Amino acid sequence: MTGVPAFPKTPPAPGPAGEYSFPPFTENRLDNGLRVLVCEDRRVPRVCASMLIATGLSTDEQAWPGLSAFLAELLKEGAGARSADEIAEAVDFMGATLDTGGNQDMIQVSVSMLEEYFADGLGLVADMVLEPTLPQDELEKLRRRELAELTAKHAQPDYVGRKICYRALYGEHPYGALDVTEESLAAMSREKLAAFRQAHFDPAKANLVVVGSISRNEVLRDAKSFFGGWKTAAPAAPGQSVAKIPPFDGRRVLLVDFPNAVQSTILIANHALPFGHADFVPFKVANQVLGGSFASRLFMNIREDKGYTYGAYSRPVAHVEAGSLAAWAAVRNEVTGAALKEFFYELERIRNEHVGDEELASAKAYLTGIFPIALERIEQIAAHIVSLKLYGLPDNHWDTYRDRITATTAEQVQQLAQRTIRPDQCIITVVGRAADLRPMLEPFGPVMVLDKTGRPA
Amino acid sequence: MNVEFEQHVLANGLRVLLSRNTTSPCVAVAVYYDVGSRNETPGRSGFAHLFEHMMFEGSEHIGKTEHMKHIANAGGEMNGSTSEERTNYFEVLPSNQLGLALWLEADRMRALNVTRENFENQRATVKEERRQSIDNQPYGPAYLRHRELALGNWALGHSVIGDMADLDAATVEDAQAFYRLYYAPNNAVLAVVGDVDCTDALEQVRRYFEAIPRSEAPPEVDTTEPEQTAEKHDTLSDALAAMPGFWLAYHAPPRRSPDSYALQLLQRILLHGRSSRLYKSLIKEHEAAIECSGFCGSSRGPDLFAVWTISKGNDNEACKTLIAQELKRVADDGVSEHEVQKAKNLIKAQYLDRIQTNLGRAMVLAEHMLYDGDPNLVNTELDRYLRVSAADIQRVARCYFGPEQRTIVEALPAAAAGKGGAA
Repeated sequence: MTGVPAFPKTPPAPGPAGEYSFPPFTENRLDNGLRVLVCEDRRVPRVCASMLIATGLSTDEQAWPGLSAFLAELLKEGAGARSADEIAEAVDFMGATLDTGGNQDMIQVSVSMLEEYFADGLGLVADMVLEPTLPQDELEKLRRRELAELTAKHAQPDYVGRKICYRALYGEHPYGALDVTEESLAAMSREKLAAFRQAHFDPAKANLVVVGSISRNEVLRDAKSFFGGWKTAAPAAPGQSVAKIPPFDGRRVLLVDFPNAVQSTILIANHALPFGHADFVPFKVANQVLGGSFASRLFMNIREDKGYTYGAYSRPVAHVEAGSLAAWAAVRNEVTGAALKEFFYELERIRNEHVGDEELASAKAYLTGIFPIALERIEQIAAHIVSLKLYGLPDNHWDTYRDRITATTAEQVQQLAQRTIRPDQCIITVVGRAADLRPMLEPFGPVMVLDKTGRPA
Repeated sequence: MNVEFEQHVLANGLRVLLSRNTTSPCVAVAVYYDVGSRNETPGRSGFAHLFEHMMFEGSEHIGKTEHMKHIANAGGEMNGSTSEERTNYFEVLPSNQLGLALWLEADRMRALNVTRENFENQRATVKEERRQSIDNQPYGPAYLRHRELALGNWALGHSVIGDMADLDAATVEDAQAFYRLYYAPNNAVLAVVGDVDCTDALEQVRRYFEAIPRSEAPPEVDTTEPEQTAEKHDTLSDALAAMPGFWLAYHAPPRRSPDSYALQLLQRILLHGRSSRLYKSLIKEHEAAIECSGFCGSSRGPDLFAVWTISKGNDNEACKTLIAQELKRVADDGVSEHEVQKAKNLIKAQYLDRIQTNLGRAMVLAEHMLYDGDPNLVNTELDRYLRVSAADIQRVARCYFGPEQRTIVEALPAAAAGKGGAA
């Protein structure tokens, strides 16, 4: 373009980088063992309070997939002197968000609220955790609602793909169950849920994380008043799962038939590292090179070069006992085989070649740069503190995180890629039109065609 | 809360907003162009969004994909989005990389490089985006159809993502002309929020943007909406849906008109949270639906107050009746002071949540500048919501929810289509 003189041909060099450290928090313990972690953050007049209970679900709950999530949902439907409607009313009046959830490693009850309602919000958390009433009529309603939601979710290709993939990856281990099933929903009973709560809700296994516009003293005062009387139950026998994570051999293609799909939803996953693994940080660097963002290899190849997809990414998915590496994209039917070829090209390349200096520097700069950006909201800070306790990470994990990213070498990346990115030991799930797709998928491994519920079609 | 900021206008018409926030060593840069799907012409639906993709594909000093790589190398995030109203581009970076973001944004504003090859590649990407987000999702097509049917003004009613046939018909020449017309400094707002010195930031903005020439003012968009005099209805057969669902929509007034504040509060009272009226009625009490959500739009032109429901028990009719009952109850009996206060608390919390991040703050400032000409609304607009009374809410419920003002689009599982939803 003419008439625009002197526009520099190259971008300006950066100035000196600003200092950043993970927000300081204090760790305190009540007499009953409850840990209370407090991070005072006055940027906006809001507070987030999160109760995290490491339930040890994976010990004995094989027959009840989704039980902890169902229980977490039912906590909202009656607690202390409050009915379901009264809980809903209290949450909404505080301008609050209430999140309760459970997975195989924990149950969490979180409330974010305007600062003036902190004590009310914490009282609500206390009611739900200490005195859930698990009312029978609400249980029945929830059962009916979840059953209908399950039907609706089975129409979503990405949900179905994930559910089938994780069952194949983790077998009968509880990690293989991403959600409730029709059978487990039918079996949920008040007695079972109450017994589970009794066995696992224990102050010695719980952490209260509070972040926001509030002081440590105020939090401790209210925490004592609401949770001081919470008694430790008889020590349960937590530990490793009864069911073992199945060993893996070879590559399997699970083709889930969605005859009406207009696209193929691809998910490739293999066993990798648990969150607390000492190599998890350099593993994140390896993943960053492969598919962690819009500048990573999968996106650049499959979207920007080939135009097969809106986005192609990969991500480590980690739990206490296990982890996986997942890579995914949604592509049009006719290029499904071609897209898989590019996935495997990239999965092999990062194992077989040393990553170049520039690409490695970029991956590390990205991960270190976005770290403070991903901690701007109080809920994000709380989630990072929660993860320290849930995954048994050292207290200074987030303080040293960026240095460990920076210290990662090309040798480490390749070595970790060879251990954690395993194109010869993976599950390939493709949700789409089986009749069209089958011939395209056969070159990638033995193909099994399944229906939406995961049964052989 | 008071968000302090500086406001400047460069000689070429670029409106610049600068705000210092030192809570972390990061900075957000947001560029808003006053162009969205409302500026498209029939036969070219989806063009503003397709073009948005081209802004990442190279400019005079930046090759294809290099924009993304520069931002990743600097440790930042970036993206862009298109709505009916505008197209935005943004980066969040360590604050010592502000110059990089400004240089990248300025280079593509002054000298985008639109090639045929990149255009073809991004057209394919956008078609996959449409498949992924609309065509391969249960209820995706119904979402597009409800807006199209409810709004008689084509500019406001057609989809942002566009029709496949229109995407196929788009040309590189269209893209070049579109760029020259809309992607000019006089049609844009630039907001910078974060750990930066405003004097230094303004100096850098001038260095990169001031020499970019202005363009002619783009044509005005006709936002007049024909008055709706009879209910509108359509039924789609949805091959991917497992259960019937429907959109129910009424016209909503333009943003910042007196009624819009009351309707926003009413939207919360009806639809936000488990204590909301429609959740309690449809999901808890009658167990007629598994999902009931919605929105009240606030664009510069006429918009929609819309409710989305997935029916339980294959019965859309029961849900429609319950929704109509609740709307009538608000019109007849009004809402309680407690409900009004609850909605106000929620609006306040949502506002505080949004301005907590540098990017959120930059977006709020840019939107108020672009749409309302007054960025200080970031500090005062909340008060307008807090002044709404229960009587205001009852008045708007009476005014906007008449039976002849209603539009319904139903999505029926393919097997049940044509049986009136009774399966």
